[in-house]
Amino acid sequence: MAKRVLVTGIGVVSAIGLNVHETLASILSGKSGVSALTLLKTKLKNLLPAAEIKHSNDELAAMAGFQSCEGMTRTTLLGMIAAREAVSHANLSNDPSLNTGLISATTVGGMCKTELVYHDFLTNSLQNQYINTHDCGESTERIADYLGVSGFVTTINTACSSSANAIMFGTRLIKSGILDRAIVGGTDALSKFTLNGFHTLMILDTQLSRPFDDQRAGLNLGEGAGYLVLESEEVCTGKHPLCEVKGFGNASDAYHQTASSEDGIGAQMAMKNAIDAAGLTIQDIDYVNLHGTGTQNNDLSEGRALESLFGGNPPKFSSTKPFTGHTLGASGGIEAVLSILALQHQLVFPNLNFKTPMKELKVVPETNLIRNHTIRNILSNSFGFGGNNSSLIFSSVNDLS
Amino acid sequence: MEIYIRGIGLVSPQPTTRKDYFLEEVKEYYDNSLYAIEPEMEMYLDPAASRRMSRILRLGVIASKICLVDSGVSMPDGIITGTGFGMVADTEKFLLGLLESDEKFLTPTPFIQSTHNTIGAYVSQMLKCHNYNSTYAHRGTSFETALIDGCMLIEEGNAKNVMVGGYEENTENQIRILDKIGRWKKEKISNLDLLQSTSPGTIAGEGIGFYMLSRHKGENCCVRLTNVQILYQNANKEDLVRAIERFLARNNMKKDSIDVVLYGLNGDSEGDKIYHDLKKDFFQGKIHTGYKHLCGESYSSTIFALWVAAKMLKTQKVPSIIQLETANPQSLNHVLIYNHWQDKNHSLYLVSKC
Amino acid sequence: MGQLITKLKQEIIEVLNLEDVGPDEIETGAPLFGDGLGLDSIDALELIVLLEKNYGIKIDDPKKGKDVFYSIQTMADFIEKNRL
Repeated sequence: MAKRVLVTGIGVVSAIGLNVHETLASILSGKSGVSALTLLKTKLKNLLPAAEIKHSNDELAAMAGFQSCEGMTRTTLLGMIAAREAVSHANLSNDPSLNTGLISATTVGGMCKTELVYHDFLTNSLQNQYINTHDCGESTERIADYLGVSGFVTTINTACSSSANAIMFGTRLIKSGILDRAIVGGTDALSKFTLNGFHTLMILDTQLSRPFDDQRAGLNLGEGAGYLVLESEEVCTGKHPLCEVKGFGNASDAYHQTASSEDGIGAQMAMKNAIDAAGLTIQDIDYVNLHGTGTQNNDLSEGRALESLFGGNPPKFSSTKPFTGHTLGASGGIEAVLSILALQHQLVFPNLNFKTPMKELKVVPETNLIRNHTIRNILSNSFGFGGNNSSLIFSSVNDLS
Repeated sequence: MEIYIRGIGLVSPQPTTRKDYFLEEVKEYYDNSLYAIEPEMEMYLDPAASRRMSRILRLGVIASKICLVDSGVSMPDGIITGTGFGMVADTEKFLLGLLESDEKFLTPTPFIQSTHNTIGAYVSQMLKCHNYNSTYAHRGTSFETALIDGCMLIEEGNAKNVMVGGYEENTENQIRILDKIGRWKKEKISNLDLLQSTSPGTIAGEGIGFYMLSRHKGENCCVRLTNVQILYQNANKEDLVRAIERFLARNNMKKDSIDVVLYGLNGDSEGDKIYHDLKKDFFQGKIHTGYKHLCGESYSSTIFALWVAAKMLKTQKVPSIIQLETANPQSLNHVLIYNHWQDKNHSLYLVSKC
Repeated sequence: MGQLITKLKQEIIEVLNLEDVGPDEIETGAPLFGDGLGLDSIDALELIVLLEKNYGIKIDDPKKGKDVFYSIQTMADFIEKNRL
């Protein structure tokens, strides 16, 4: 039988909480993290709300145990905080006989800093210390050094599906025997670059986003980091794993650089691949954490994919992006943490801001917080630019079926 | 499980897209920046369809088409890419637009094409390939991680053919900025003198290469990709020797069986020390070769190294232009590639004759 | 109007990188999207920026663009009606 990969630790930071405990409390009280931008210096701040973490880089650095944020990007700091929580939660031992890797994801990388100092890069030498913090590998290596991880360390960037792919890759590396343990997830900070970029695509809502609503007008960006600690079952003796990474699937929509196909073929294939890989059937899925960005295009595509896959009777589904914003490269990791919390506590999280069902769909998301809902298997979707579609299935470990 | 390289498409600062070319003559560069030689775009690209594409995206599409034809595979079971810096020109374009116009009148195209997975995504759209797709973005081991993923996909039984690519692009601004942190040589040298240089810094390179990994040999197959490994560590010589020994042991390979070692020497006096140490001691007696004088240094320069290794094994020749010491190769069966990025990102490849 | 139409054709060729197309080859009344010039949704976004940058007219809803950008003629009419 194939090796089981278990989740032994989770860590998260976003606009709704600086750790797992705060995050869950916010969701239970229906508290969204989307509001007016106050820290990010941008001409768009009065136009576009976002889920901004209301702490400066120096404050984040202090949380991570540094005197100042000098020489570090916001992406790195967020990643350190969440990854450290996951590792601490997992009580990960420093065992040199075990192969431990770090697979981290980011789309922004150091751009949050580069955009502030790029002019200096071109005209003087005052900010040279940030030249090396620009690329995606920087935050990963800083997190690796911070956690004391060496060996297999790498970074993924597939836009919005990045950290879901990191979780998938880490799982596969353990199943193949290359690694015994892996810290997996992603981190992204808000930046003018991405805010303006999405604005040129005209898919940002000037109001709070309304995933799956017929009147939806776009997404709200967010920032944060989410990490899991994965361990092979063999090295987990004496631990109480949170769940198993039971299945995963990736498929390419192969349609357009930014738009999803109208029939949602890529999304459907990703979900089906995950369910098949898990050895489950569609009836076994109890809850779907949607990608659900609130854009006209994604939600229609994802909605059609749900209907095609599950027929007229899908499991409960909701998007948690109205809480956390769309955290881009970190979204797969953050939403994996949220999915695992849902699984642990047998909760269905509400899809905030939903009023009117989409004309094109028969199904509607869950708008209430539901407690004591039997959840054995939860499916989490992350769909990225370029049609990179990934789905993960987390399952309770008591369920051996 | 044997994994073969059954097709290659490499666009680089040498004429590597020419059929049967193997460094018979090489292009010389004099100003420390090597740029990819561009094939005739019209041969490969429809002008209307490619009108928005950046230079590296066009070259990526071309390299992928060459690889597909070379391999005889029309629909890969996966498309995986690796790149350290990603789509530099489009990122710069959008960023400069943002800063110069103070966030006004920005156009979407450069933003859309700035994500690291643009080339992999574009190729999947071009082929209508719904299969596995991913992109790695970790500095000097981006391409290697993509190869590891590709091999794993085949070994898992989920794929027969996986197209794996690596790329980096140079822009003037990028080169200028990296110069400020001492990346490049202060003095202008001929690229052909790079490996003998004893001053700090290296020279800039770029390129894009696609490799079709496969369970089956195919007509043009030349080599087996026996194994690839990455290591993130501030490694000294002893650490590295241990890592290499473990790598060889994992592949049931004795050091004696290695015929050629291909080093990632880049002309930087500090960074090259480890290669010289290995050459002198651990790999004494082997055929020592280098490649970065021909392609320049970048996060993904090993796309060129893999091509060199594959060609050596296919032709059973070691061109004098890559020999570090005069050698008289007998039969070549195994090539070991060792490269590092700033002593932290290390990669090892074992490439073997079919 | 004639001058505006000529100017628009040149601007569109430039902004959308239609390297192989001359202004004379763009029919004023012909559809720009789908079958006509074969423009797509990303081109529509580029044209929205063109309208704002060169003519001071802001389109906030991309769906509105479909009617405005039907052809060079409809674009010219819209500009004449709305420009500052």
